[in-house]
Amino acid sequence: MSEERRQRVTPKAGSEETKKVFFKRRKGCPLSGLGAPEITYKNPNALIKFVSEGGRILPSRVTNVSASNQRLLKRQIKIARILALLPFVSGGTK
Amino acid sequence: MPLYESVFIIRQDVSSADLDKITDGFVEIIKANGGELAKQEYWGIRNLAYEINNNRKGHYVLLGLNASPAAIAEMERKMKYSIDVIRFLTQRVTEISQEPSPILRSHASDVEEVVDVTALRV
Repeated sequence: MSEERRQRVTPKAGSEETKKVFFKRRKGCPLSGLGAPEITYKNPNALIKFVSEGGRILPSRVTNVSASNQRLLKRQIKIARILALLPFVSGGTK
Repeated sequence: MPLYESVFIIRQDVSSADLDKITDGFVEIIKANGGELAKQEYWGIRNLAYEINNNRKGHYVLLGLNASPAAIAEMERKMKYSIDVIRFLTQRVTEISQEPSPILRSHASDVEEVVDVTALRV
């Protein structure tokens, strides 16, 4: 059953669903409220969403993180970089 | 005494027995200086985000400590001179939660998901 559903959704996904994901404006801060990931360097999988492909910290106007959370996030990302959990720079010539 | 969280990375080619020995060595230093071990976590061998002294992977260890600043300084001094420790960072924290770190939880949830999928197929 789940497979049928997936098949029905995927052709749409190419056009509408993916667009939604990229252009849908999220209401509120993604790091506050229930179910939000903990902002800590011990959670690099969550932090990596707030870092650009090149490894730079994304501005809060892009990620919609609240100002207070952005300050926490900044600090934790920098700690994670020191511990080689996140890159200082990624991509480029290797 | 203040609380600290110390994370350090050990070279990849250190055996698990030696890894325990090194970790215990640091804990002993803390205990000898009147501190306590509040939490210990092993995060496994992780890929480093960037090369450190030609190392691409390393064993990650987290220690939650309740110790005097002098004890921490002594431990860090030992880490600095250890060949096997490639990176360390000790931070003062307000509390040490006894729950496993999110870094371990993400691993666990991955495993759970896999189990769920197989259960559905059966």
